[in-house]
Amino acid sequence: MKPAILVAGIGSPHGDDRAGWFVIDRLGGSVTESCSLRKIKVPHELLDYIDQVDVLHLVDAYAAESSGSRIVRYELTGGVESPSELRFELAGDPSEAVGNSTAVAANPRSDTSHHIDLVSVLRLMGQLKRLPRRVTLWAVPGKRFEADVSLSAACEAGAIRCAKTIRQELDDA
Amino acid sequence: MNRRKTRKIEVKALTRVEGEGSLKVTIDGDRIEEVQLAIYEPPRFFEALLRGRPMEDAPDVTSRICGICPVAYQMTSVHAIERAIGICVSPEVRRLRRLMYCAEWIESHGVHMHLLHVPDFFDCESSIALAKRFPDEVNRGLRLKKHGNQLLEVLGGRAVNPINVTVGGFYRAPKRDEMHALIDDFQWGLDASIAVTRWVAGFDYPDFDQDYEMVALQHDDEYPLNEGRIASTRGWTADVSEFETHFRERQVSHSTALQSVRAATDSAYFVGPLARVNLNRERLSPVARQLSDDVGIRWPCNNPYQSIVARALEVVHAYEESLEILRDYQPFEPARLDYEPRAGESMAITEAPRGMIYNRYRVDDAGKIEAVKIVPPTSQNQLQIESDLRAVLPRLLAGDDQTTARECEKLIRSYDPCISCSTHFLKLEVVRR
Repeated sequence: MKPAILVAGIGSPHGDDRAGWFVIDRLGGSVTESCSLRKIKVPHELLDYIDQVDVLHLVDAYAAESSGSRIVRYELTGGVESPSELRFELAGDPSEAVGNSTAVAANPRSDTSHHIDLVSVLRLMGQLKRLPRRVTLWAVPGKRFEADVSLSAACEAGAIRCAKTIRQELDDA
Repeated sequence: MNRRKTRKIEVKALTRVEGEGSLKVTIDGDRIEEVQLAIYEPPRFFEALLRGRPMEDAPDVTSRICGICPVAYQMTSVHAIERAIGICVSPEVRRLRRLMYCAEWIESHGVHMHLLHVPDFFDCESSIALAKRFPDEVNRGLRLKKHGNQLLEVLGGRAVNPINVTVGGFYRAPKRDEMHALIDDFQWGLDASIAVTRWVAGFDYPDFDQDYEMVALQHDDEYPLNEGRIASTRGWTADVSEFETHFRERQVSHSTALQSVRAATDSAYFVGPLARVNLNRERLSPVARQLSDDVGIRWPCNNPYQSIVARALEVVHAYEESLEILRDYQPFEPARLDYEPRAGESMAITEAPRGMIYNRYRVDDAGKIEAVKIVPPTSQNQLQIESDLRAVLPRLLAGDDQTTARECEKLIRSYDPCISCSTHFLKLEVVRR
C-alpha cells in the first residue's frame, strides 16, 4: 500500500515567502491519489492535517546570502525515544548548507510571526505520537520578503526546480 | 558607596508570544526606574499600501497584516468602508460574518491557550513539555483549533488568507451541506470547550488584581463581535465614531508600534477577552453564561493571568453560537449587496481575539481609498502591559535574572499580544544601579 503523503508549502503573501505556496500550485494536478497538497501560513497549521500521514514534505523559503544559493534538503532525524531531540539534518553536500550550518535551527523561517517554530511543531507531533515516519524539508532560496512585493524571478525559478524534484520523488515512491 | 552594578540578560525570544518583542527594565536599588516593552508592529506601510487602491482590495490586503487573525482585519475594514459609502448588509450576511468571527476566536484562542499559555501554569518550557504531561488535554485543544480552521475554510474560501469576504457581503454563500457537515464536530467542540474552561479555571493563579480601565464593545442584544458601542469599566460609553476623541496614539522611542492611550489622561487601558467578559458577561451564550458563574471566578475580574478563563468562556460561546447558526443555515442570494461607490469617511471597531481593532477609512467617489487608519489591539495594550510589569517586578527582584525574565514573559503572555513581522530576538535587559 502506498504511503499517505502530504506536501505542505509554508509561506505568506510577502515576496519570496510565497515560494512554498508556489511549489504547491506547481504540483497541483500532477500528484497521485495518495498525496495531498496544502498551503499553510504558520507551522502549527500542520497539526490540522497530519493524521494518517506517513510521509511529509515541507517547502519553505530561506533568506539566501548569495545569488548562487541552492535548494537545500533536510531530513528530520533523531527523537524516536525523546521527541525533544528531533532535529533537521542536512541531506547532501555540506557546502550547500544554509548559512554554513548542517542542521536547521529551531526557526528556519526568515520572517516570523504568530507561530510556534517548525521544529517545535514537529517535536510536539512526536510527543503526541502523531509524527509522520519521514519528514523532509526543502528550503528554497529567496531574497526579498517585504509586504506587497511579488515572487522574484530567481526564487520562482528555484521553486520550479524544487517542485520538479519533489514530483520526481513522489513518482519514485 | 554603592557600587554600580549592571547586568545584561539576553533572552532569545519572548517565547510563545505570536511574534517577537523586547523588554528592558532599569532598576535602581529596590526601585523600578523604567520598563520598556518594544513591539515591532506590522509596519504602518499597510495603511500606505491601501491608499489609492480600490476599496474592494481592503479585505485582501489587510488580511495579510496578521497570520492569526486575518478575519478581524478583514471584517473591520469592510464594516468601516460600508459605513463610509452608506450601505447596510443583509441579516444573512451579518449572521455569516458573526460565524466567521466565531471561527477565528475558536482557532486563535485555541492556539493561544494550549500551545502558548497553559504551559506557564505548569512550569513547562514549551507545549511539548505540556503534551508530555497532559497529552489528552493538548490533543483536545488541537482538535478545537482544527474546527476553527475548518469553519474558516468553508466560510472564507480557504483557511490561509480567507478570500470570500468583500464589501457588501461575501463573494459566495456556502452551501447548506458544507455547513451541516460541521455540526457533529462542533457539538463535540462545545462539550470539549466546557471541559477546557473547567480545567483552566482550576489553575493556580498569581494574586495580581489591578485597578484597570477595561474597554470593549458593548451591544444591547448580543455578545459583541462585529458591532456595538465602545464601553468602559469606568462607566462611560461612546459611539465608535468617537474613538479618536477618547483615545490617541503616541510615538515612544523604544518601540516602532504606536502606543494607544486615553486621550484625556495619557493613561493606559486594557482590551481583550477579559475586558469583553467583564463588560458583557450577561450577553454570553446561555451555556457560557452559566459556566461563568460556576467556575469560581469573581466577576468583574481584574487579574490578567485569569484572561485565559475569559478566553475559554469565549470559545464556549463561539461554539454555542456557531451551532445555532450552522443548524439554522439556509443559503441565500445575493451573497453580496450591489452598491455604487461614493465619497465618504467612516469608522468601525470589531473585536479581534486580542481586543478591539479600530479602522477609519476615507474613500473617494470612484471608490478609491484616500486614507486609512488601523489601530490594532496589541498597541492598545502596550502601555498597560508595561504598567503591569512595573507592578509585578518588585516581587520578582529577589530571584535571578533568568527567573525574572521568565516571569515577565508569563505576564506578557496573559495578554496574548500580537507582535508580528519581526526577525528580532527579545532581549530582556535588566540594568541594576
